[in-house]
Amino acid sequence: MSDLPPRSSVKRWLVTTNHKDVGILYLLTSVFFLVAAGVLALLIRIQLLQSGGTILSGVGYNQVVTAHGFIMIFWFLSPFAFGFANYFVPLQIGADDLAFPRLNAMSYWLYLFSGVLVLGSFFQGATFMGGWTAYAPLNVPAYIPEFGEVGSFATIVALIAFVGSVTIGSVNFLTTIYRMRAKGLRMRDIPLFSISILVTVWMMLFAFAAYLAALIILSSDHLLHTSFFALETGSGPEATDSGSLLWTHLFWFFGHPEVYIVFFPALGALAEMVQTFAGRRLVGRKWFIISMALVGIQSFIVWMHHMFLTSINLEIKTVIMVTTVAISLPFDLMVFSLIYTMIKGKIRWKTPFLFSIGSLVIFIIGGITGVFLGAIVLDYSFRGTYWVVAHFHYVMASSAVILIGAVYYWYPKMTGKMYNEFLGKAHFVTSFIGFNMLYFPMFIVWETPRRVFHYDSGFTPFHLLATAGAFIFAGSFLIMFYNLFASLYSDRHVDESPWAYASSPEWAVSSPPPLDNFPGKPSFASGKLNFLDRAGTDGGAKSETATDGGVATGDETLAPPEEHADHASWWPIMVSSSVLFAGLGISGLSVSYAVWPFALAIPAFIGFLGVEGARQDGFALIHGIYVMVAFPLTVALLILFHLGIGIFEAVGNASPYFWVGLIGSVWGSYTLAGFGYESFEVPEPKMAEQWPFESVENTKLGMWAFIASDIIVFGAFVGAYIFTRFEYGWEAWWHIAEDPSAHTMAGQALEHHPVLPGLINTYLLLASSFTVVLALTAARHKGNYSLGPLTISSRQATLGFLGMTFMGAAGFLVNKGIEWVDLYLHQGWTFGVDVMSSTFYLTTGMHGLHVIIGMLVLLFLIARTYTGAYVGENEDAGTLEYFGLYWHFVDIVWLFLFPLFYIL
Amino acid sequence: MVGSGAILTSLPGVEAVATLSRTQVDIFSRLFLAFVVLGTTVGVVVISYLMYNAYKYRTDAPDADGKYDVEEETDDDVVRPQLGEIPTSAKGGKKLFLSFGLSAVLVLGLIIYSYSLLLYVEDTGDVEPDMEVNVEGFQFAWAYEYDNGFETTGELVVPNEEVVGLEVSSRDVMHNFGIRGLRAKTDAMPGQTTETWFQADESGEYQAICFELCGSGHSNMREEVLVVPTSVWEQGQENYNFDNPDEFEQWYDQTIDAWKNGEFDDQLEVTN
Repeated sequence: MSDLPPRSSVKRWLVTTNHKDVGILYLLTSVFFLVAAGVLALLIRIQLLQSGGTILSGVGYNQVVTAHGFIMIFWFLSPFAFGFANYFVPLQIGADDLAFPRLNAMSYWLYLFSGVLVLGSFFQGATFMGGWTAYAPLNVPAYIPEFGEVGSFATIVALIAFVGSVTIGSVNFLTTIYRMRAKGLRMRDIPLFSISILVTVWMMLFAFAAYLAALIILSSDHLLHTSFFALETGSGPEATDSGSLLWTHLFWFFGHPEVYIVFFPALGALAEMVQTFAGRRLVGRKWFIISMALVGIQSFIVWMHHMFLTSINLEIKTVIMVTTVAISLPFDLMVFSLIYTMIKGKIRWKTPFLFSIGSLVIFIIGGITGVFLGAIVLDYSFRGTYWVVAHFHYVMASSAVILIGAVYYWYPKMTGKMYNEFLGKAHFVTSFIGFNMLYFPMFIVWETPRRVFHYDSGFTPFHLLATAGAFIFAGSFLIMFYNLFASLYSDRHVDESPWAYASSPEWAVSSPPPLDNFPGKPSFASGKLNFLDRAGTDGGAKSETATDGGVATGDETLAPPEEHADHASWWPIMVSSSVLFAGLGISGLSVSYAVWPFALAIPAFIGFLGVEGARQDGFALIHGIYVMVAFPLTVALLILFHLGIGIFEAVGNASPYFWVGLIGSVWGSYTLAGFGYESFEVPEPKMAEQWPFESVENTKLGMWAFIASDIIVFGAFVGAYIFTRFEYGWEAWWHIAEDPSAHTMAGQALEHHPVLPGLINTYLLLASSFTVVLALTAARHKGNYSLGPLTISSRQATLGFLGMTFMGAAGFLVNKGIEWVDLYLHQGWTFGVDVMSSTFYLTTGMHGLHVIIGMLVLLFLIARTYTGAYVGENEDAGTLEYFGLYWHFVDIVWLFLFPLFYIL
Repeated sequence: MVGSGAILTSLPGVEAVATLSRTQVDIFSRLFLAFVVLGTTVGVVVISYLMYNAYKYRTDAPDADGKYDVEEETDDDVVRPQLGEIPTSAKGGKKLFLSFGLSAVLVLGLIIYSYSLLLYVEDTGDVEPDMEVNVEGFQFAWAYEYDNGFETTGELVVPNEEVVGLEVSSRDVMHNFGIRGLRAKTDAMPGQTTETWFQADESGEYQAICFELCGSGHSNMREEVLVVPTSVWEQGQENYNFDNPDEFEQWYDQTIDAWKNGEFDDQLEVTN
């Protein structure tokens, strides 16, 4: 940690991986996006001052409405909550940091740069203008005005980068909460805010994976001109029969859990604040937690209640109505639990409590109006009106109101200073009045159509009132900004806890907490929080520090000695910045240039593996080979590039987006290689409560979580394929390709779609799965293998098996390449020629991309093995094992894809 | 504008769906009223109870020295949260489940009641619609095709007090076809057909509005729907053969002209 600069230095904030620093970065950045999206909201309200609009055109209004939704939900609400999660989850569960600090920093920077991309899209002609729901086929270029195509795609790319950030964050929090709790702290014992974060990340892991698949499908329609949502025929665009419904399913499968994803962290914070300021333990805590878990699971089977007016049938509507109503009941229980907690309390009406009770009122109104929507007959009429707008603002903005309360609640902990109570209360009063003036009139004039600036002239006074409320609500935040800023320089110092009856562990440490969080190793083994001496620092003398009012018992064992943990790394921000450039580039690439920046990045990556490897591990032959291979590979690609487009042509004519994309992807190659080689020590948790994952290392658990989410990604692809195929007729499907007139742009019919390449590839992949197991076995083998007269060291054997895995994967890709060239070039069955080709190329292509990524990782592993890692007594072969998990997963996916796309 | 209709129409059970005594307007109004009354009651009760407790158990003790909050008391009979404790529940679980059960019964009752109305709206039983209209949305208007084959992208003209069945689709992006005052609404999706129906019980001018964001002209995507009095429709049927699209077109054009010239002004019950 010696290399972590002080907080006053700018560099500190660029290199930090400390969870508290990252938490503060999240909070500040999300507040910035709150202001951005808030300004957009004010534009909406100004536009609605009179029916017919005031300042915005139709296209402008659609952009503002869309961006307001995207930014508020993705770039403000969730990250705002995760700012607190970053800061307080480790403190609440007794961990020194998150499980993967570097990935945590990367998650933040990806979030920031994805936000830069989405704001930048306004300056690329126009941002996306199809609503945050992005219904198909209005979301594809065929239906987007030409000036908006680049910016629209940039928005989608930004969302993909954001999903990357979310997935990394989810994996990180899951691993941390399961593996790094203080001794004695069972899962059910962790504070409610941390529990709510746990439920949230479980939902995020799966919901965002489905969204990622949807976004990739959409991107492929943009970039590769596939035709999931619309065919671009000679006589103009033609929507596919399946696309519109497909998108609503994919989107809402994500979109409904997302509602709880933004609400749950706030709910957890609310429970903590009510408990603290009521001075009473939560009533029915166990049932509160069970309710949250239930909602988390159920959130995945209610999505079709957003689709009651689509062509889904009555039976499905009935099932979904039941699940929807059922999901409201756990919320009833949670609200009652919070209210009953106040009885016989010692309630102090401090600012955080005011926000808590205000948000409860708001949430109760939002919940009741939501039950209206659960009655399908009412929903039919509410669809697309301000009833929906008012309802979801009462629910979602109530989570914002709770989190504002949480700012006041935790501000003294994070800064060591107390905010000004009077200004805090003034903020609450103005914001509560503004909020209700803004949203309540929307219930009264609910017949205003959503995302429309025309309404009955009789509604005008109510819309005027709402606009006035919007400005009061917005203005109230200025009070908060002033209060929090000025209080930083006040002399109202606080010690550990300014609040009576605060019970969670973050209040037991100084404000702000020290870099490594706790004065000693936290433990609950005695039934109460204790800090054990970190042994090895003072010769093992046993002394104990009791917490406020607590009596420390002396019969606990010493904590194990602390290992050195790293806190600073440049790589997270650098890797993420490459995503910014590559994303910016990809947004404006034309289809003929699309693949090249990324193809050229592959030899660059191999070369950088050699260079970085030589720098970190000392030069070895393998590094030389990598660098030497990179050159001819680059030349080969350039020749292909010349044949395809023409180098001189490209130098003269390629758009700036091409060069930005190329720079971004090459920079990404370099930074990923650097990230991989950097030695960054994070000790495995010792003396921690780890049920139910005691026997699984952090990284393996992380890998499992990642694969779980990737299963959903492929599940969504396969689901999209099966759905589309059913819409066209399961057997009639093959005729799409055979009949040039049936929903296809092909001039000629597809002659044959061979099965053999797929079959050969199945064998190749299965064999490579076997060799990767052998590589791990060899790495853990003690001593040499003797094979007749030959003696093979276990290192050589490991290298051999890794090499064979690589060759198997390479064979897979070559075989696939031959198949694709035949289908694409010789038979003219291009990506977008019909919906069947789109599903085939994209799904198997995504799998192929996984194979390529696996091969690049293999190259890294081979180099590391060659220079001494993984094999032998003192080396940990875990990394090989984790890669093996990934590789088996890729193989298993193929076992599903092969029959689905080649045989059935 | 909000159609009140026959709010007091009795509500037969599901099996009694033989005649279309209730329009979508009736059903919506009645159900909405029930929900508003119950929802407001529940909301007022719960919020009042919340505020009552929050106020009753307030503590006004001044900030203690060095603290920004009250001193903790542990000498009363209630167990207070303590710093660093392993959290447990407070008492009150029974009451919690009682109120939870109560709310569940209330919500389930409301939903079962509304479900019976859904079945009615979804399946009009043996009653065939008096006329069918195919609606196709496109950027940024509606195209209608009557069952006699007549097509128009102008106003929808239908008779009062007759059941009109709609089959709705789209020729480009997703729209949502809704006639606000008649409570007919359904998605218009390319490649899919959805159905709904309505029955006006007041003649007049209504608006067919797009309720799903569909592009730059979405805000202006609204067209007139003219519900003509039964007498006007019947008179037309006497003078023209409504099964013939050309004759129907003549009547349609005349009717639109007459309406625009204000000839119906004293006959229409609902005007914009």
